[in-house]
Amino acid sequence: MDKTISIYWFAIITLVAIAIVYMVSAFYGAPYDIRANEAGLLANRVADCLSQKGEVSSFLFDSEGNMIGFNNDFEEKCGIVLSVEEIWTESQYYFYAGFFSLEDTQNPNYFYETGNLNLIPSCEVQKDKEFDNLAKCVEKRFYSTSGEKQYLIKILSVVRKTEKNVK
Amino acid sequence: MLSKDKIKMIKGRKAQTADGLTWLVATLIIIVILIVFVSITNLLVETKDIERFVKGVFSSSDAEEVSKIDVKTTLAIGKNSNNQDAIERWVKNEP
Repeated sequence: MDKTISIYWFAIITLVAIAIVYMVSAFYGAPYDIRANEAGLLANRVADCLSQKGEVSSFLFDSEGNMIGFNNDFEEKCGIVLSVEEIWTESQYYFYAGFFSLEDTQNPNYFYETGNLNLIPSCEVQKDKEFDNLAKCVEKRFYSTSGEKQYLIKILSVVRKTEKNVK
Repeated sequence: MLSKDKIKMIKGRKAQTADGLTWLVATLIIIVILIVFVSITNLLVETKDIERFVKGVFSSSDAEEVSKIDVKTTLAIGKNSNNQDAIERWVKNEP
């Protein structure tokens, strides 16, 4: 009888141990997926860079008031660092900022894009859980002014970093 | 008529059956508790997808309320409110 009980306890303890190992590995093995949050925060940062207090930032215009935009100095002007850890060889970000007029909301008067263009197709399928390994996109729209001029501004922010956010 | 030894043996079997039943119930309880804990763990793992978790906890209207970007539009409309309806439709991505 004692031998049977010993075998029984061994089996139960093994079962409990397996369950504990599974639970710990399942919880700590799954990384926090913050790509959408990161993309949202970066879009907010870009929006702050483009427009302050309802007015488009003055550095985007020349002395005559014409929009000149960025001259490959987006990172410097907006204080955004797009470099990533060494595990990636390609950029893990993509940004698009488009300035539209009220007359033509399809074709931007001016747009600037930087980062990895290959990430854009991910945006169409990002809500499908099957494609969680692709990049996450956040699109934000707002309105801003510059004197009498009105600008509709669209920002698209894309973050990949799949390896660190998805198991 | 059963002998005294046979009666003792039968009584002993009954005791063994009761003992076995106790272990069986105990095993079932342990398994149920483990299943509950594993299920809770799986639910907690789902919360690690922050985007889905936040959408599940907060309604979309709550999320809109805390949108920092909307403040920019409001400030700009305060400066120049011409075509406000068209602007708001575009910002909300409405046709």
